[in-house]
Order: sequence, then C-alpha cells, then structure tokens
Amino acid sequence: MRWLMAALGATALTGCAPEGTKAPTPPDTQALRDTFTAPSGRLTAQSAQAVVSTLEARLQEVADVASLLTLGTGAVGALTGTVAVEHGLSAADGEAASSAGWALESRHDGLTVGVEAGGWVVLERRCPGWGDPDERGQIALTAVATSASGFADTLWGAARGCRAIRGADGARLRYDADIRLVVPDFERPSELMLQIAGAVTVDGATREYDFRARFAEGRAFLSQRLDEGQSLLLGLDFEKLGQAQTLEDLLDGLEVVDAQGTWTCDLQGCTGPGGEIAW
Amino acid sequence: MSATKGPWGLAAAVILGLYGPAHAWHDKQPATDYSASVLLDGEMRLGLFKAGFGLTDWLQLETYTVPWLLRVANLSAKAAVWRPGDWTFALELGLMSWNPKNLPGASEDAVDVPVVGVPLTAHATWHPAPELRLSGALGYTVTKVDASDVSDADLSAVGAVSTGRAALSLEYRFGRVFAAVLEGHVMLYENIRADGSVTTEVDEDTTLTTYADSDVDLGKALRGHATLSGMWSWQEFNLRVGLGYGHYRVPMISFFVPEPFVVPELALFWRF
Repeated sequence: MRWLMAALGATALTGCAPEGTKAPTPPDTQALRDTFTAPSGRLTAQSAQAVVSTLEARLQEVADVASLLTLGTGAVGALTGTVAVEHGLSAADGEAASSAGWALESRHDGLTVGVEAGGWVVLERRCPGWGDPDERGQIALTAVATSASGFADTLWGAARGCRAIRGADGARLRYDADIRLVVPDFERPSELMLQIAGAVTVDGATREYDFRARFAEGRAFLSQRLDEGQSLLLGLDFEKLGQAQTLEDLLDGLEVVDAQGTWTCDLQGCTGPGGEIAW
Repeated sequence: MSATKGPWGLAAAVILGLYGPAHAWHDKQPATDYSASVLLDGEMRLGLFKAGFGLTDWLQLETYTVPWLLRVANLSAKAAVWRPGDWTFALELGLMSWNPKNLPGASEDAVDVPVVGVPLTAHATWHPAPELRLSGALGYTVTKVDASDVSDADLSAVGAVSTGRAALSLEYRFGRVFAAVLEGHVMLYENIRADGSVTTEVDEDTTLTTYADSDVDLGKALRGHATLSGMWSWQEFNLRVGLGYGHYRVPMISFFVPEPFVVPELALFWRF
C-alpha cells in the first residue's frame, strides 16, 4: 500500500507532461532541385526540334496548372508578407538579449506571435471556386522555422478539391495535388522552385501531372528532357505565360539554358553561345 | 518559577512555554510540515491554512484551506513508509486543480483554462537526540496549464512547468513546548514546456496558423529561501511564527518567485 503511492505518483506525473506537438519534417525536395541545376544538354538543330515538338504539350500543361501556380505563389507571398524574419531575441524586462538567438514574428492586425526554432506555420487559402461558396476547396502550405535563417527553404502542402475557372476559356479546373515549393531566399519570395504532382481535372477530364517549374527573373523555367537523358531549361516570360494561346506565343521571347549558356529565341530561332539555330 | 524574574525572564518563559498545561506536545506529536512525520492515527489538524487527518499511524491526508476560497481544489497524501531506528522516511503525493472559470463570481464567458499541479516529495527525518530533528526532502512538481479549449479565441496552448527542489530543516527543542526551526528550500531546476498555436486571418480567404513548440530549461538561476521560526506546541494548540527571506516557494505548485523578498512565516492550528 505504501509503495503504491510512489507508483501512483509516478503515473500522475507522467500523465501531466504535455504531449508535445513536434514540428513536421519537410519532405525531400532534392529531386526538384536537381531538375533545375545546371542543364547537361546542348541546344542543337536536333534538340531544337525536340523543343518545338513538345512545346505545345507544355503549353497545355501550363494552361492546366496556371491557376494553381498563381494560388501557390500567392500563398508564399501572403506567408512572407505576414511573417517577418528577425534575428536576435528582444530583451525582456531589461535583461540582456541573447545575441545568439533568433525568432520569427508573425504579425497581423497588431497581433505579434513569436516563433522560435521548433515552430511552424500553416497557411490555408480557399480557392476561387466555380460559384458555390461552400465548394471551393483549398490549398494548405506548411513552413517550418529553423535556427539558421528563419524558415526552412522548403514549403509543402496540397490542393484538395481546389476549384477555379480558367480565364481564357472558362474551363472548370479542379486540383487534387501535392505541392512542393523551394524558396532559397525569403527576401525574394517570387524566386522559387515549384512542383505540382497529382490530378488536374479540366471540364471533367482528369490528367495526372508532375509539373516542375523554377521562377526567377520574371521567367518560368521548365525542364526539357532530351533523348540522351540530358536536359535543357526553357525560360518562358512569366507575364505571357497565363495568356499564351499558341506555340508562337511561347517561342517569341523564349530563353533556352543549356550546358553552354543562355540562348535567346524568337519566331525564327535562337541566338546564343553556339551561334544561331533555326527552329 | 525563576523565569518570572524581570521582563526578560517573563518573555523567555512565555517563549519557552513554561506557562500553560504540559501534556503531549513536540515529543508526542512531532511537527509534520517540514519533516517525514505524519499525523497520528485518527488525529485531526485544523488551522488557518491547513487541515489534515491521520487515516492510520503512517498515512495522513492534508489540504490547504485558504485556496479553497478561490476554488483551488487541493489534497495531499503523505505516507511514512519506513521507520528504521532514529529515521523516518515518507512519500507525499499531492494534487491541485484550478480553473479561472470556477472563480467565485466568474462570468459565463470566463476563460476555460484548467490548471493541474502534481507535487511528489520524498522526506527523510533523522532524530539523533531527543531535542534534535534533522529533515531533508527532495521534490518534483509538474504543473500543467491547458488553454487548448479557450472559446471565442484563436489561441490554443498547453504548457507545463516542472520543478525539482530540495529542502533541509533543523528543529531544536528547548522544552516540550518550544522549538526553534531553521528551514531552507532550494530550487534544483525548473523547466517550462509549451505547445501552442494562434490562428490569424490574413484576408477573407486566407488564414495563417502559427504553431510554437518550446522547451526552456530555467534551472541555471539559483533560487531558494530560508526561514527561521519558533514553534509552540501545547496540548492541542500549535503556533509557528517566523521570518524568511529569499525566493518564496508557492505551496502546491512549488513555483519559486523570481525576486527574493522577506516573507513572514505563520502557522496556527489545533491538533486533536
């Protein structure tokens, strides 16, 4: 009986400890990063034909995921717009601040929430929908705070039942896909790598996509696989991307990055480190 | 009596308890507050700040009375588990429960934040001579605050403070009535663990939920306090008066107040 008290005490103390919600672990995005490392292929007359022949399919792909692209990049903007990265903990009651420490502060409407290492944020954004306010679906993105530079550079989440109407043709889009984002520098949140993997339904027809793009310097870079297992990067003007209707819309102003450098293209062909190549 | 010769002699006589009935006091009913001793079988303790009952000659139940006015439910069970020779060893387990919404006069929309404290203390007392008792204690307390169900708020948090502490006391009897008690408490460590989240509305379609998970060890700062007091124990009436200084330890939750200050010691109770 007497020793039962000790057992009861230990049990009670264990039960009182908080469960401790642990920060989620970001997914591995190395494959996404590898997609946009220095391309190994070369732009030649032959590979230029491969680019042209697949560009129309890429145009379809971009048109299908464009609404989710806009929502995803907008979510990053909303996240970085409300979260300020601050180095150094503020001094409390005159005590010395920890110069080695750091904190993130989430600010909105005068509310400031400190998040130290081990914290994370989840941003949820309702999609535009098709008209029924109760069936719009949403995207959710998670970002984890780290001790080195504020947020970890990987954000991830998913679009679930996310509905939108395409502006160009009024097509009804529905997204059920996983989203991965790599933001190397939160000071420039518009420069990021993005992967959308899952189902995109356009007017009832569902297609599976593994769409990867890198946004930088006003362009969206897509990876172009070549037959030899090598790849090129196609840089499309981000402003024109949403409105592109034809192959010509994409070719005019296209940038191609290959192992030699960057090529600038128009409706006739490309000019770059290897000279001129016609389509 | 010779102690009545002059005002100092009178004072000394009062302090030492030479006046009044002399029955069974310190030696028969040893103080239980700072030692491994427990109330006797069937013995009651009623006082300003504590009430207790001896269930058997080795197990007592006690409660702090004043906190009940603020609806702070609390109870502790103390068992003298082993008494070899001049030694007594005891284990004490407590439970404290409070919620601001249960405060007297609290409005219906008062926040629902349950606070639960569980102190566990191991006591040991050595009684090497009739007039001397030395006691030590090691304690561990977890206090949990649960704000995960705060209505009409986007805040959700669960936190726990765990404190380890040690105590030493020396009781020296100058007679059957009066004893001097020197008591000290020191915090060994203090740890705060908190998990929480706050949801803010960025715009009508966007919400941002911030989750914080912290584990802070506050044990580096030395905190403690010491008290010197006089303890009078007559047949039933007991009085302890003293003065302490340091980081006062809040009973039940064992929180050591960060700033040191002078704190009076007062206990007034009957044992019967």
